[in-house]
This record gives sequence, structure tokens and C-alpha cells, in this order.
Amino acid sequence: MPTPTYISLATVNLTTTDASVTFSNIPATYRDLVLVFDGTASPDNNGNVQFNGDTAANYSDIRMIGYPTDLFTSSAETGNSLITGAISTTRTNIIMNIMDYSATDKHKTTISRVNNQALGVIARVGRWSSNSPVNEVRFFLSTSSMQAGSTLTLYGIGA
Amino acid sequence: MAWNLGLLGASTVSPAGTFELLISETLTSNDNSIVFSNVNSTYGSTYQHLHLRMVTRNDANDTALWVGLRFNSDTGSTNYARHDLVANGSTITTSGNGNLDYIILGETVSSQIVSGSFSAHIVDILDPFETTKNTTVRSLSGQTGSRNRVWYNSGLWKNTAAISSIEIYIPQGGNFISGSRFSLYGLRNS
Repeated sequence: MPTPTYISLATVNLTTTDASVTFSNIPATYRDLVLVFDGTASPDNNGNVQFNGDTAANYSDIRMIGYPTDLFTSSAETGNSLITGAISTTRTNIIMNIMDYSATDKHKTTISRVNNQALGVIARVGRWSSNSPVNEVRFFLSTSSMQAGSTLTLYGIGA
Repeated sequence: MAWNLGLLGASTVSPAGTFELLISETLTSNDNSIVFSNVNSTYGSTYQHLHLRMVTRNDANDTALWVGLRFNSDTGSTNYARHDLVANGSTITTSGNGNLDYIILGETVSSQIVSGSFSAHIVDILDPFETTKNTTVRSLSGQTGSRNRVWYNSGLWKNTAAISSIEIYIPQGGNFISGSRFSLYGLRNS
């Protein structure tokens, strides 16, 4: 029997600047999570994602970037967060899919699209090297703040 | 392993535009292919587009193998076309082929890659039940680790028939391992 899915779990609409938003106590009842950011930051800075309060070097990422100047690049790194891509004073849209987030037999792979008219378009794949179910998602900027009017929404896609 | 969608019961009425789970399977044993059958007869009158979300790993003694997609058991050698944009962490390459026997949906990591790492795939199958157009597919997928990859694929099935079956398999051999997951969703028509 078809199951209506793609459920909005929580939405944060910033009324003041903020460097960090955390979604916690995420239920394990969905198959995938989708984190959507739409907003701006000042000054320009990368967005970052951490799971379950893990601040260790357990994250890896590869990206494919198309810049406005007809330049394409690819790079990869490991670190203490997943980098979502640059957010600027020009409106940025980030869609991060967190696949099989509640599974206990695999690392957590993410697939993301990032769109910013001034900075470029990015396709990214990331991995959190943990078999733990994701119960917390923290989105933050390291050296900047999201501006008022920015929104973050967390969706659950049914199993 | 074949999953017969005709065994499912009648659907309930939902608001137009709803994104709905049709079927999801997580493998409990290794298998070379997954087949969703009776797709058009069960869902063709209700849904406009299909959406496929997968997490995969295979048992080959390798770093990664391609993931193939075929429709309606069509194995004709010139009946599919594809274009790929692939990044490996340092370079980006493009490729295309207008005459193939399957569409590529990126790759699935194999046993030489760190345990626990799975490839992830998000696939859109557009207008699969229309009989006036060929079926187009787009896919974003990849994985990180010792084989970093981002794949951006487009695919074409050169046939206007409505989709009755969807096969996801490993063309180069090998099996998807237990824990690999395949979820098919439908986007309702208006």
C-alpha cells in the first residue's frame, strides 16, 4: 500500500543571526533525512554538518564544483565535519540527503547539491565513518553567521 | 531477486502531488540484481514520475563496479544512451555513449573499500508511463574513501513503451551485498 512520505520534521526560521542550528532527538522511524538550507551568511563562509556531537576527524567529502568563470574543479578531504559549501551574502540553497541515517550496519553517506549564483554550483558526496544511527544534526558556520531570514528544514523520507 | 508490485493492495486516496513510497527492500543476502515488476499495471494511472533511492555495496574483489539500469527486460545492445560527469577528488571527466545495453547509475563500492562504506544513489525516472516519449533518467551518486567519486549521470531508454519493469544490476558481475537498500517512490500526477 503506498505510503505518503517526505515529512517535514522541523523548520527553523532565523529571526536573528546565528552561527549554529541543531536538530536533536531525531526519531529513527524514517529511511533517509533531507536537510535543506536556504539563506545567506556574512561574511562568506562554508557551512558544516556534524552528527551526534561528533567533533573528531570522522568525516570525509568529495566535491565537484562549477564556478561562474567557466572553471570546473574537484577536491576531496577528511576532517571533523562535512563541508556543505560556501554560503555568501547571495542567497544559497543547500540540499543534503543523509542516506540510511538510522542504520546500524553501515557508515552514513550523504549526497548534496549546493547552489549559489555568485559562487557556483556544487555536487558533493560525504561520509560519516560511524555505524551509529544519526539522532542529531548540527549545521554551523565556523567563522561567520547565518543571517536573519535564513531557514533550515529537516525532512524524513519514509522507509 | 524479483519484487512483484502486483501483489500490493489497492492504494488509498492521497492529495495530488504527493511523494509516496511504493516499495523498499534491504537485502538480507547477496544478489546480482533487483527487479521491480508490474510497475505500469500497478502504478501507471496514479503516478507521473518515479524516484529511486539506493545505498549499495558489492562483494567483488575490486574497488568499485558500475551499477546498471534496464527497463522492461530490454537487453538490446543499442537501446540505451548515457552521459556522465565524474569527479575523483582531483579531476573531472566526461563521457558518453549513444548505443548501450544499459544506463549507468554511478558505481557501487566493492570489498577493497573500507568496511561500512556504501555508495549512495538518487535517481529520477521521468514520465515513465507516457507512451509518446522515450524515458529519460538522471542520477547523482558517489562515495568517499580510497575511491572518492561523484557521478552525475543522464540516461535514455530509446523506447516509448510504458515502464513495466525496472532492473538494477551489476553489469560487470558481482553481487550487491546484504544491507544494500533499494527504495522506489512515486510522484503522483495531478
